[in-house]
Amino acid sequence: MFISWAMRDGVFFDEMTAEDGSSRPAYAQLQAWLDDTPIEYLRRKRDEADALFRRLGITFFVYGEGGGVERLIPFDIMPRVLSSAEWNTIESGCIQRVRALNMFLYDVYHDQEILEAGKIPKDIVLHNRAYRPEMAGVDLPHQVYSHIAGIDLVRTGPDEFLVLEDNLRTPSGVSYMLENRETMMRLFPEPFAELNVRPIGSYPDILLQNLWAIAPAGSSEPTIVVLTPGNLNSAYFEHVFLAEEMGVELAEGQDLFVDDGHVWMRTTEGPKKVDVIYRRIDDDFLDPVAFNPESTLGIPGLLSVVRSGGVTLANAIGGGVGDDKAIYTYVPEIIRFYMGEEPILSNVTNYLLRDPKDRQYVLDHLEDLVVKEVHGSGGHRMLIGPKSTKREREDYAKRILANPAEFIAQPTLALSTCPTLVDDDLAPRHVDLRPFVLSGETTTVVPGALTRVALREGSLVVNSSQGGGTKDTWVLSE
Amino acid sequence: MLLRIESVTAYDYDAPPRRGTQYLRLTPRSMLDQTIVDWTIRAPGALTAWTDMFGNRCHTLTLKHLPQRLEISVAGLVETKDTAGILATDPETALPVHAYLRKSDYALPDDALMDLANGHRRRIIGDRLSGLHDLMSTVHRDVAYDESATTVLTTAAEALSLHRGVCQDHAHIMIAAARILEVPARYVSGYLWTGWNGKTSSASHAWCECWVERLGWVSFDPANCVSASEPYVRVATGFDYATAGPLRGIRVGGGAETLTVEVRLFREEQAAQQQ
Repeated sequence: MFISWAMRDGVFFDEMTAEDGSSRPAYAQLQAWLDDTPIEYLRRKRDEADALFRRLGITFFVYGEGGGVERLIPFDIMPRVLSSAEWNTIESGCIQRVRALNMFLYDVYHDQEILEAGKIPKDIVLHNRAYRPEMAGVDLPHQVYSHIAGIDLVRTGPDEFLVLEDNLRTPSGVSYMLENRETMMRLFPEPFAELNVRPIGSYPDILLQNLWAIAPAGSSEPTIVVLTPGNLNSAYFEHVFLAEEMGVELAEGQDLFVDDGHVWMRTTEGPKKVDVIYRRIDDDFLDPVAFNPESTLGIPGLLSVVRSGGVTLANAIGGGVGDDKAIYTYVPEIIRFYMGEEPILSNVTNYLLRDPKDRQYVLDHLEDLVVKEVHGSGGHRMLIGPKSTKREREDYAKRILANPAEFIAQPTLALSTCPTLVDDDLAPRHVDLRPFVLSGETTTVVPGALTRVALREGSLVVNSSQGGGTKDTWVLSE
Repeated sequence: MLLRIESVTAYDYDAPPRRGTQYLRLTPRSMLDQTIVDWTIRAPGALTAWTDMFGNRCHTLTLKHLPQRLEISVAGLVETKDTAGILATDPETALPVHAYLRKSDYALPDDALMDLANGHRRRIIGDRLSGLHDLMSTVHRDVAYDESATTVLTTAAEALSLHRGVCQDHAHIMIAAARILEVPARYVSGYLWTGWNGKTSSASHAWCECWVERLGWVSFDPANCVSASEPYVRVATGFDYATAGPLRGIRVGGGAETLTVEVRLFREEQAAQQQ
């Protein structure tokens, strides 16, 4: 995920401090506490936090030339605070969005009513790389495709939360949300007691309960595993963490095999039938017989078991067609079509380069826009108009013209800022927000999220691979 | 026509592989132009039946220790009917017709395929059915039958540049050209009876089906320049050979392999079906 941005006349919405210098209501108590707290105390707490994270071993890999580098993800001890009213909007908006997207996914793998109704061009869905024909006609428990979704939001004003991106495949980051909270509760017990911060610790229980709920019919005591690509994956820590928190096995592809219409796990007591796989491996690598034959991470024969209902995957194969950047533009329409409601959360304006009119506009305004690849992620290979050189824009325009359908563009946004402890003082830094939406029998969000913060002054890039850090997110009760 | 089919597919490995998983698409289903009277499939291990997105009857074969020679055999009786190549709709495929315009690896367009397609664009837009017959004739004429020119991995573009190939190549070329012209097209793998007077013939075969409004799927066999009729038995359909081919698998160990396929078709007396 990548944040697009820009300085809109250099003015950003700061979430703590209003234009007149007073604190906004959600931050009033935190500000009062800060007023009584010397900065040295905060610095000391930051050092404690660093030591805690190092001991826990929460790291991530940065991919680059010459292999991965393991790094400690920077953590900022200043919490981000959301009022209960702000949270209600985010919560209901995210639930509405994910429910609609799951209905969309069911539809495109069954009768394609939304395509027949002409709401979305057929090609965008059926010829999409992320559309998996292999899933056509498969009936999933509760008709859920994206059991774990991460919705990336940015804030541009008091009541303006915009959806930047939906992540319906294998979104990561929830371990940071949970570990950040643990750490904050240890470091700052007092403000927690005073501020009525809503707890988020039930996340692993809700996830486990949902995974139970999607077990194939007839499995009374379902066996659940977390499937990881292994310890070289950037999110391996999270795979271990979630398996431990839920009390289920962590498995690699080679630990599992297909036989007699089921998936089995090799154990010391012999094969054990597996009912639900929370997989953290991309579609392409899940089954070398059906997909990428070079994959050694998957389980040969898995697709046949999925199709005949012998195992349920979370998330389902083919969910990516719901979070594709070309589909994103249509999400408001998707919400109206399936829910009969207006979207609670708005999209960022998106220009589709496949459209000749949009394309001309984008080519004429490259300097003001952010252009990215439909299938890209992590903020790589994108054009950040306001920060680009003429040469870079010309080169990028050539790439666009060679394959317009592969690109989208967005206006630059004035991302909100939150106070952050940088060097030895508090300073405003830009943030985004990723709540995790869980779907099983019902769709829920725990009252919290991963807040990512761009630690460099003026930067709007929150990706951990590009100098971003994280914060705890405090949702206040009424 | 009542056809008895016997076929053995055998893999000979350098050494017995340690384990392997295969998807088999070797079981035909009854459709407008064919009725499966009986069908059995045998393999040296348990077969688990499932249905893929095209409606094909598939089996998964998982083996812990493979023999040095892996044999999979099928035998059955199929009654075929001449429907002038028209299959109508295929309600058992879970995919919408529009999905058959997707690009697939064996049938990716290149300049020569674009030229081939564009040469038939006007005819196909004017009258899709006769335009497709013209396209079939062109593919048949331009690509000579030659068993030594191509392999099972050859793409439509490669075969067209060689102007040589076998039925698989003819089918891929026609599919690629049809899709360029926005005509949904699918690959068919099956058997073709070519014997007469009780003589047997051996023929696995491949052809294609294109979507024509109001008629549904219509068959075209560019290798023989005809539409499928009674001597044809359709076993599986897909985007191309990769998804409609009879076997697709992965194994650990075993070294190199040699594949041999034996097919025998016998025409049975019509009386046999009325017993």
